[in-house]
Amino acid sequence: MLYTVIKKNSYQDSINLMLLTNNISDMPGVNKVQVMMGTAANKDIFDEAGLLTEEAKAAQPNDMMIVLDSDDASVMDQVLSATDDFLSDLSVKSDDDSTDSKNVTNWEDAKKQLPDANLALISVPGVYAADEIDNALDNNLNAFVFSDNVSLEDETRLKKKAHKKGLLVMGPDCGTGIISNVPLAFTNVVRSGNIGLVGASGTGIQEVTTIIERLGGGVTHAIGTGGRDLSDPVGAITMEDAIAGLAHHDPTEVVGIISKPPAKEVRDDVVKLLHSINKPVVAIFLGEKPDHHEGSVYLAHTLEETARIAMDLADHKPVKPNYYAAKPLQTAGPELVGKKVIGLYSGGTLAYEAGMLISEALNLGGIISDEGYVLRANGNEVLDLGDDIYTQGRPHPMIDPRIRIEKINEYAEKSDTGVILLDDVLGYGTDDQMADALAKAVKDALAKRPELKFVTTIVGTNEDPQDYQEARKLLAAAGAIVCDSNAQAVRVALNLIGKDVNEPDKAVVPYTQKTAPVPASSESLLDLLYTKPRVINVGVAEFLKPVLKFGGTGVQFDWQPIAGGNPKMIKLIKRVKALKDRQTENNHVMTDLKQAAPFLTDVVPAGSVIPELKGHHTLLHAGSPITYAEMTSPMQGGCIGAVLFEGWAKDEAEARRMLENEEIDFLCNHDVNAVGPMGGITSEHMAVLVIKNKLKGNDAYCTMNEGIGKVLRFGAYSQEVIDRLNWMANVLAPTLSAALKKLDGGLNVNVMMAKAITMGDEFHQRNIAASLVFLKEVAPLIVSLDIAEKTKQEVIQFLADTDQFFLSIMMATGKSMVDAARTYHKGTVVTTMTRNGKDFGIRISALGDQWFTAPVNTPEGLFFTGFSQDDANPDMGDSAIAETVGFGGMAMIAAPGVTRFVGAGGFKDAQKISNQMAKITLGRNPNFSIPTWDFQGTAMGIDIVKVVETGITPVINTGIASKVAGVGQVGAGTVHAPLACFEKALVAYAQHMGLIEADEAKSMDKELVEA
Amino acid sequence: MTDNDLANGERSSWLSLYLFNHDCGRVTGLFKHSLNIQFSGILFHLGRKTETLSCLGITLPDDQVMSILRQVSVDDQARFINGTIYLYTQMTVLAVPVMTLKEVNLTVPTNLSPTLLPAALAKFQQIPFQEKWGLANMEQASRLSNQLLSANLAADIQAVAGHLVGRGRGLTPSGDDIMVGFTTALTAFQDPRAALWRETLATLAKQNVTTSVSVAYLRAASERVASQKLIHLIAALKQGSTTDILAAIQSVENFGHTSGIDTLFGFATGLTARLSE
Repeated sequence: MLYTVIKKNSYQDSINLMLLTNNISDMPGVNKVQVMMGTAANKDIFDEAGLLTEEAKAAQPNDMMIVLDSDDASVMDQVLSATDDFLSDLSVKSDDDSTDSKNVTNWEDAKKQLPDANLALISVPGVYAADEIDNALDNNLNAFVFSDNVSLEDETRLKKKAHKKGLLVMGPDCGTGIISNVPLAFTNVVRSGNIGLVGASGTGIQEVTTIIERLGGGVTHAIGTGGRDLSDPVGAITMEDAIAGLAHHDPTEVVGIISKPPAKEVRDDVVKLLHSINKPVVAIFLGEKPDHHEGSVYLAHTLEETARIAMDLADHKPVKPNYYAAKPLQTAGPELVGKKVIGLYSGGTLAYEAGMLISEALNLGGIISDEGYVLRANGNEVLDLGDDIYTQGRPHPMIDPRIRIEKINEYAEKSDTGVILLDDVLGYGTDDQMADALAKAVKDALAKRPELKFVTTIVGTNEDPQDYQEARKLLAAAGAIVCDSNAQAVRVALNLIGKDVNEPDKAVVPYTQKTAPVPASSESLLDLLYTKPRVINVGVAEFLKPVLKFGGTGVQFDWQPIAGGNPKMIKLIKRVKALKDRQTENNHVMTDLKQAAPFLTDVVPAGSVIPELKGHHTLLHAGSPITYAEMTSPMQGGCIGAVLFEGWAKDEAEARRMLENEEIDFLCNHDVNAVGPMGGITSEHMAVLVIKNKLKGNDAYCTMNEGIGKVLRFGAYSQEVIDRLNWMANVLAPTLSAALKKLDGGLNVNVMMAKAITMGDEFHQRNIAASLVFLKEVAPLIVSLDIAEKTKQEVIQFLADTDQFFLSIMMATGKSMVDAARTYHKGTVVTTMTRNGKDFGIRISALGDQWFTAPVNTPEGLFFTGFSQDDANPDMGDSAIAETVGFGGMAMIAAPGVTRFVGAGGFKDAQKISNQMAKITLGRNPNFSIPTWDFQGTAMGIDIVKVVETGITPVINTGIASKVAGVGQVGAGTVHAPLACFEKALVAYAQHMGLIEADEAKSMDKELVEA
Repeated sequence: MTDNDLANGERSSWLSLYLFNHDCGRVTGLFKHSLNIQFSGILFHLGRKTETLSCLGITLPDDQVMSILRQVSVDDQARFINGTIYLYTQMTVLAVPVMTLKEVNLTVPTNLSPTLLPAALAKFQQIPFQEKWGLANMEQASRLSNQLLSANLAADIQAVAGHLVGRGRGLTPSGDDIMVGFTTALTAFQDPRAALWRETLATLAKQNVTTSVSVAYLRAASERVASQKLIHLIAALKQGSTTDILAAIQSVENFGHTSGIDTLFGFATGLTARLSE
């Protein structure tokens, strides 16, 4: 039976997940298990493995899918526990690493940390690789692309772009490379030397470089091009640029080329270039059997011959006519004559070479490429076990020996199998225990069939992380014949069955075709070749280790798919980011926000300043537009309270009837320069605070905080609530109004907030310091009023008792700030965030009053005794104006006192949250510097592009209302804004800027709604 | 390292005669402050700028030499390409500029001023060669001096040289240093025996009778070339003050374990020959 667990938003790179799958596959009770991210391609793999459950089908690219086939449901618990342990080990390791290397999560930070970077090492899932190569090139970086599954069209486009910019794209699907002696990806440790290689084949490069190293030579650069570079469409762009680069690289005296036979025209071009450079060249077009050398270009038949010719050229020795022993390397085993040769390879090019040599010797008609078979003729078979068909959803055979062990067992049982060829590829990236695992399999097979022969080759050097000599010993001790090269291994295998290779001498004939001037190399390319690489490692963190060990520098880019892996959104982001005026426009908005000059000037009846309320049965509510029927219970409760407060109904029943019969009109606070906490219900005679932003002279309003307990904003509407509202309107408001009028121009809010933020307020969940600062300012004024002492005492007592009184002052302040900034209609800055209990709504600078909404989340946090998460109402209130202007959750670090109360964990978690919020904002507000954040200003100016790109949505600190009207507040916590409203805003912005057509925008919008 | 401009050093004028584009070499000696690279035509010496410029090589700023020494190993390959020596180490390619360095003429000067020589001789006579040289009691200093001075014919010179070559210990055995000092003095003073001694040294340099480093210096002496310290001494004798001479003698004396003393012994003997005329 299949069991599924989907871990939402738990991104891990594919190598980690493959290792994890490998780790948990052997657990007792597991028939089959697979862990992958929820991309479309991975779902196909699940489907083929019979593991695509309905839950897995619904997973998103950022979700981790775990599907288990087991006869026992409880096994899933063990799998999950093992998974957590495995990933937590990784995360601890990564934390330790990050202390040293300061990992980054975007290109901008990567460039900041390593400004002189010259190479991006890209190992992200193939579907995202083209975009990251593009990003690397846009940042003027050469790219080494380990990722595969990039379309030929993209490869061609990107290589043309790179060439134009003087940059090199090595790959895609480039498994191996050495740049200035720094091993990249799956690579052996090879000493430096005067040989430079360019290869379209990973294991081809590994075989040649390791033989050179073992012969005493060295290779400074081995530039991988990716397997399709010499195809017609790409036209060997990378190979030709690399050859020209090596021609201009003085320490390189000999150039080596490794490739499968290219398209004719491409071959002619490359060969012409090779003859044009003033350095000797050895070239192998694997699969061709050259019968001569040509001028200074020496043509090899095998990878070993390539290495040996390169060595002679490097030592300034004459190239020999023949590099193959005249006699067979092994006498035939009489019992093996007529038996078959089987190749079980982890290295694709080694398999290809074996297939070629066996086919030539046995006249089998050449090599094939069919479901992992390189050769399949007359019972002789060579398999490339690194082929996609064997590696989809499981580790490469260089990492995981299981597939080879299976195949060894399978072939060893066949009576006509005579010799089995194996490779063991050492170096960075490959398994440390492979020789051990293979030796064990060889030993077991020989115990059953002693007449069988195993012939092995080990691709490695003495400096590799594994022990090369020990690997040889292990395999020899198990009974395998260990050869120095793949070519020798294949020849020994052929000798054992009574056959041999035929390698005639090669003479040098003059090159008679034209040569051409060698193109100059760009400064970037020469910099790459003459200096140690400075690497931005995008993806698999392991790849950075050898870079640092071998003298390179680097920064780890902890990559996650941007825009949640949505390819359309990724494209859109690229287009939007390419808009050249956007940054200036956003800066304009930021300046308006920073230069805001809010003053608390008055406290008045709402109807006196909001004409839409005067004389109408109209209520204001929090959030984007919503009907009474759509409101959640607490907001409806607030409406009932307001109707009763205004005296429009005599009791609750009548109030309900009026509301249900749509006798009351509704408007958003935000549409009338106002904001309101929680339900945000505001009516004509309720008192509102008046904030004037002197930057633009605009006013903003907010109802006053009623204190805690049963209050209208949480949906309570009992007589106690109505009485308090009346007192606030009739006593509190006039008193405060009179007090404020004693000041010329009102009370400067920025000053109060700047003080309070250093005292531990973040102004959403914690306002006690600001409320006290306010009381300190206003109390002397109240005392000086010519009113009854009792009134003075009541008012001051209320202010002293109401810790959150300042919340409403901050909210009106925030509203006054954004409304001033909203007069400028450009850019991608979020100018409003609000929630109505049903939808989370945002507005952005370029699109004025247009709302972009998505269903709200329900806050999570700590609950008062007797209440739990089940009692929580979905997110509600205009108070997210706090986060819109950089307070609340955005400034969590400022208020260590509330982090536990809102369920955000400890101090470090608060710091983490604020650091994360800083990733989606455009800048800092120097007016409000936070001591616990090393006096950095609040992170302000949420950019929808950054939000969509990173998938990080603003964290809102919030009170939690009971979902039952009248109960009031039941707890406090945090809630994330939903991503979809930012995505919708981005689509609309792109359409507004003419980047996409209306129908495309509509269809993307539809997809977002459905998602 | 390859991108660094290390051109702040000196090179011997003699190099260009023996170091050619694409010459292959290997690091053969690593010392505390210097290294040797054996090219087909020359045993190349890389030393620190604060020490003497060998006629076989170059000097670079001390920190750069020390940085190179930290990174190279014996047997590392070297190539001289387009005026730069590339050292191929396990981890990286080091570029050592050669032809961009300031060229210093290390050809032995001649026509010395006779008036300055007695002061030098007086200083030499104060040096207890027998105590400080590298031959200890293997030889009597005065007897060896006489042997050197009395050999006038080719056969006699070959006999003395045959006795001294490779004699003593170290990278440059004392016997060789003595012959280098003596022959250089004869060359500087244009002694009639100088040519015979140079021929003898050239012949010895071709035989496998002493260390490779010594061979290089014997050959240099046979080609009228000497290390910078010795050249400075000769230059001081030619036109400097007494103070200059004494300082130059001291400088040679301080070189190496006994190499400087041994060379000075040879040179002093040559000077005696000149003064005895």
